[in-house]
Amino acid sequence: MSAKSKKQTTDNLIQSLSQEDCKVPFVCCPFSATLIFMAVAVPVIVIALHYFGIRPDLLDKMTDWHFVSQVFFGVGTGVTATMAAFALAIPGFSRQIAFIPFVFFILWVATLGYGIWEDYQAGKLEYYHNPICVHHMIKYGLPLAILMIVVMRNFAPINPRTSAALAGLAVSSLCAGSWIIHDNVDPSLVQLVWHLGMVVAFTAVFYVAGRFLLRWR
Amino acid sequence: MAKKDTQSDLRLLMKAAQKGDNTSYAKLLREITPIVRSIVNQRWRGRREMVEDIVQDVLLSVHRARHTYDPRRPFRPWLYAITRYRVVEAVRAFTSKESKEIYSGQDYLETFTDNTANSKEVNLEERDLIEKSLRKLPKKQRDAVRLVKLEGLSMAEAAVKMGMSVSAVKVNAHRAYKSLKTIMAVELK
Repeated sequence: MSAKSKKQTTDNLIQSLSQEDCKVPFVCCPFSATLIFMAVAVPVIVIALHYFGIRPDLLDKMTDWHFVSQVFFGVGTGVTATMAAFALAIPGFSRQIAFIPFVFFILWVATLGYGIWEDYQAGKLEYYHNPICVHHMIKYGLPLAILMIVVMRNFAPINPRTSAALAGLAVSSLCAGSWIIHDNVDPSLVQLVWHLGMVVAFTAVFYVAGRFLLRWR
Repeated sequence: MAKKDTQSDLRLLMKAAQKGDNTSYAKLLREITPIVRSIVNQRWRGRREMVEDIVQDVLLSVHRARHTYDPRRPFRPWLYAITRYRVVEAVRAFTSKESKEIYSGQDYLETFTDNTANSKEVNLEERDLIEKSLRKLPKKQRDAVRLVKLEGLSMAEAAVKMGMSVSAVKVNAHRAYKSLKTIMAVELK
């Protein structure tokens, strides 16, 4: 086909597209999408915590800065990753937004590292396998991650791998960050290996599957 | 200043289009087409004839993603992001297709015969020569060349038609090109 006839086809395409009903029902906004997602995710996580049981010393722990910062940075990673995932599924947002959750994530790792150091200093450093958090994350995190992916597929995911990885990071961080509220026995080393290990695994799996999950044509 | 004016014009056109104004939408698509074509021309390193296909892909993507544009935000970054994505996807598809195809027999024809053959246009004499040379090839090799090069099928489609694996088609086509090179060199002497 010659260049001229191809340009003719482009004109025909423009004509046919503009003849369709161009009215759109809503305009996507990552902030409102995050709020809506949280309105679904928070009840799911609360139900999960209720099912597994909330730690009995929760009120005492609320004054412990180390515990509070762990929950804050864990859940903060989840919330900021949710917002970044939605923002990256909308054209025009800077990809640098993906760094915000990683700041929270690094601070979360730092609080766990501090906990390990404290345990080590006190001679209480211990480790054991704790696969129940894997069960928790898969049972509650996976449906939330699927929900996020479904929502993002209705946007325009032009960064499929990064968006999917952030979705994985978001739900796994929300689950792991809130899991501390339940778990009153896990030392920091166990949390580092199992909780953060699951977060990294979730993120990696979603990154690898990103192009398949968020294929946008 | 002019760019800023265009930017706000495009934003207003998209805003009107999102509310259902088809005239504004047609105008918007017409105004962004040269912008898109220029970005694609800058970024695309493949065959030039594919530029217009990519431009059309971008227009379709703009149409599908129009609900993601927020009129409070600038229009050009939104458009550039979609265009960049489409060009990257086109490069990926092109590279993947090229890596699966074997070296083109047409290139052999252009470089192994005399100067008159070094033209993109295949005249009737050359066509006769190709046909004559093809008839001298074994059936499987002949079919591979006919389907892939003359009928323009992909390796996978040719494999289905010939009832063999893609690798077998590639091997037959490759052997055919080698044989054609020898046959045509003899014919041209």
